[in-house]
Amino acid sequence: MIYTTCKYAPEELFAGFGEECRRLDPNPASFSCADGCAHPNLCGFAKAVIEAAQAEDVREIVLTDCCDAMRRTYDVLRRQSFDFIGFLPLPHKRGEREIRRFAADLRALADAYAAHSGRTFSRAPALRACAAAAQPEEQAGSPIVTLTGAHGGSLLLEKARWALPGYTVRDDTCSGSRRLNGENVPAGFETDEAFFLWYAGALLHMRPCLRMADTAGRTQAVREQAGAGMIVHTVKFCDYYSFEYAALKDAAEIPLLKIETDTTPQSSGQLKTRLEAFAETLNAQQRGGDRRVTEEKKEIRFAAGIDSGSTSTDAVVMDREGRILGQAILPTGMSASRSAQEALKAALGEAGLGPEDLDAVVATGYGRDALEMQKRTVTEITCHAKGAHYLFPQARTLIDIGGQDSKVIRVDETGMVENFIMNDKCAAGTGRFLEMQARALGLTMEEMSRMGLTWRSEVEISNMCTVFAESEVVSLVARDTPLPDIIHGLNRSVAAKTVSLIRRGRGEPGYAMTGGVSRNAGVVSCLSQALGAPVEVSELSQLCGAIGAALIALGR
Amino acid sequence: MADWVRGFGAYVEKQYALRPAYARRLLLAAYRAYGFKLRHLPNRELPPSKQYLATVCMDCMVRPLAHPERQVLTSIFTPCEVFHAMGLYPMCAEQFATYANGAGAEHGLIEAAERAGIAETFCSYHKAVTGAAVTGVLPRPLAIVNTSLACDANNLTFRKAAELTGAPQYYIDVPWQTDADAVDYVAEQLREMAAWLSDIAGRKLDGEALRACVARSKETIRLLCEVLPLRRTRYVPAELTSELYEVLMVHNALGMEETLQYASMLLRDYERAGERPGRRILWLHSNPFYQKAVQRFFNYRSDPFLALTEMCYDPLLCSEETDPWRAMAERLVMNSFNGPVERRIGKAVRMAETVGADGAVLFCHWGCKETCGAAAAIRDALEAEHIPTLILNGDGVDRRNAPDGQTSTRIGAFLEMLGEPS
Repeated sequence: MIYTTCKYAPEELFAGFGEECRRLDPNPASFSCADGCAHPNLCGFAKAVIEAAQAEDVREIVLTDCCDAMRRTYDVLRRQSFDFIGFLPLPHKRGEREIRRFAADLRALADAYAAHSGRTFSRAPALRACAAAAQPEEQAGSPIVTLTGAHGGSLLLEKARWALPGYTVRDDTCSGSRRLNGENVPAGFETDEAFFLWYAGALLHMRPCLRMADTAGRTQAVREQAGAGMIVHTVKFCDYYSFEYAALKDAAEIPLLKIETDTTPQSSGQLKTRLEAFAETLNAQQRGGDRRVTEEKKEIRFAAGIDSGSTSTDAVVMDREGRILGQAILPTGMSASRSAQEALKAALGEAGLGPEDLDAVVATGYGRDALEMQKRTVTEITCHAKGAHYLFPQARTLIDIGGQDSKVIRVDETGMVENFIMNDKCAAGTGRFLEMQARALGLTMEEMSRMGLTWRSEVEISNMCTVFAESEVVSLVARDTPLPDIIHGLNRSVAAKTVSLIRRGRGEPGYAMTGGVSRNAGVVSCLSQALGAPVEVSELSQLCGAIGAALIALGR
Repeated sequence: MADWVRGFGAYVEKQYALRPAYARRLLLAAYRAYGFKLRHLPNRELPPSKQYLATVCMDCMVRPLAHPERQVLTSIFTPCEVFHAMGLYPMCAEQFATYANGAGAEHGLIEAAERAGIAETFCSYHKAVTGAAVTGVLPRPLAIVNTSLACDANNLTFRKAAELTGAPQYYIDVPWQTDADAVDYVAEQLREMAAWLSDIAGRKLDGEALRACVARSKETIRLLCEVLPLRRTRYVPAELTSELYEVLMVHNALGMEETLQYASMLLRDYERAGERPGRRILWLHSNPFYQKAVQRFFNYRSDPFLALTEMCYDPLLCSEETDPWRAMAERLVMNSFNGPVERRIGKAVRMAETVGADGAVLFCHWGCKETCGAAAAIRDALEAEHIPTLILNGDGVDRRNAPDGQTSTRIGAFLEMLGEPS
């Protein structure tokens, strides 16, 4: 078994030796080895390959010169003991000159493998493998959603398929879409050299990945063949597909979701929310006219919405007209389920109702699946959009900054999600960022919010990294910089990060803000200044998700 | 950074989105003014060669920016003798980004790129140039010519810049192998590029002018190689910015008369310099020239002494090649950044031995997978040769990724670890 990492790996060449190839599909729990023998800032996939090559039963491996990270991975792995490790230089161009060079490199790889294995290369099985690899894709029986971008692997594909029942999720990522360009695979060749020359062309003329020099038409083809929706996957510290995302997002006519992972399974909570929210958007679009997510048709007198967040659990009870009868905000604490029960109990108490009076309950937030009593779950993206429309009917761009993530949700005039974007695995620009800085300054969040408005001169906090920003704050304190000025600097840095997210999500005026950070008047003011437009907030902003959940429960 | 530079940068950054052409004119005016200052009020802490170097580098920045119709946007490793011979002005991505930082105006460009969807983890030199293309601050160059060497960012930035500015692009593919076939392949592309550029520019390439340029490149390299052993004992004041100027000289400015002049002045400065004890540091990769926490350890210091920067010597190959095309191609293919990491390690060890390095600092610039991925291997190899090596994470352009406190502690502790000079 020969392990490979890239679609340009010459699998058919090894078929000529009777060997099977398997693409590595690693999802390590950590990068404890790769961080040490390479560097933490190497692409997540490359680090995962280094980990997998250590942990799995990999004896023979072939890497390609597809990117900086893979070249460095080869440098690292070459120092370890494998039965066979090959490296295939890969031209960036694909003219006749490059095909000739590539053919010679393929031949050299075949010779190296022959010397290692003691076997000889045979053209017939290689050609059969080429014919199989050139087969057109089977027609899908259901609407297609394309997973494109950088290597996602089976873990991401499975999650996408799980979140999108009723759709065929096509893997068009750089490691997933491998179809040889050889519609008319010749029946035979006179010599091995003739085969390698043809084979080099067939490999180089596959749909190009973004490291190739000539990618003309690729992005347009990706867009045209995407189907009902598109998921663009990028890997942390692999920059290639962010460029394609930049082009796709500006011209996307179908729902598009961008997700970034580092190939570890850790971010699955956030991933799940995004995929489910994407499915909700997709389903709404597919339904056309009736785009609302509705509860079962039945007479509903009272409904509740519960938002189980990382910091607080919020509950809202509404009557059939959408009037709020009761509400509660409690800290989530150690048990999401217990906090939800208590929040609901408190909201019902305020409404003067009992659990038996509720006809529908919808739960949202990170803890939504852990709640025992909920009847239905909807992601916080859809719920926030609904809730924002309720609180701010004119809002078109909702900015939600909570304890551990930031979201920008574009809503239409009915409160339906048009598009959304979330921060990646980093606390920069979130409530947690401000909490940590408040702790470093020895202030409560309320004090911080108040003092941030009394600043006199501008202080630059250049680091967005939570930890480094904290050390910058400590240095400013040591230089006797007034606290309000430091806080204002922090508020500006959160605003800058948020504006960047808003731009990426193509946010438009009609801004409203929810989440815990919306209570920080300093941040709201900086954000409004940076956007050059007012940002609406409400006393009920923190209940936005729960309000949206209750509205969905009501079928409104 | 001085407050007035910060104020100027903040003003320029505000213009990026509103009036990009005006922002470009402001930057150009600032570079011209600083060039004037360098000529008439040079930094007297530096030797004559490095004072001269600063003025030449500023000219190399002003000319392409003032004359986009003669500008060729390039990558740092692109051989530029063809452009010099044709009277065109190369401007490399790293140079543009570094000067924007010098004007306190890099942040707005980086943010513009991130807002457009470009990954935050992308190399910040290239992100600044991408941001300039996105905002329109980057003028439409006559042409874009870039190599695949030495990093993936070249595959992205220049394509995006070509797409956004409408400038034609030529891509020079540098194979991973370092053999004669690879040299032939690159030489063929260089010839093809020259013909292509000649059509675009409406200028004929004078074969004699090219030969003269390449001959100057060779002579420059010969002189710089003569300087190398003198760095072992002699002390010529150094600073981080001058090191970056020299990087520009031995890459994009190679072949220019001024570069040859600089090399001979540097040799003279070293020949006249006295010996001084001090811990000699080999610096690998680019440097965060703007960062006070690093400046205070290395600028104008004989202990520790910034004895050599790797990137000032990576393309220096004393070659017998007489064909100018092959000579340029050979320099590219045989560059220590090409091929397996052992090539870079080998060169680093040789450099360390030649200058008698007491320690090495390997700067891992944010987003540079090429260097980050090789960092552990290079450190291990240098330490096996008893050269303690510090892996220093930071950013050559983006201040946001350069925590002063951490950097200062790391360098300080490393120098303490090296002990007093022997």
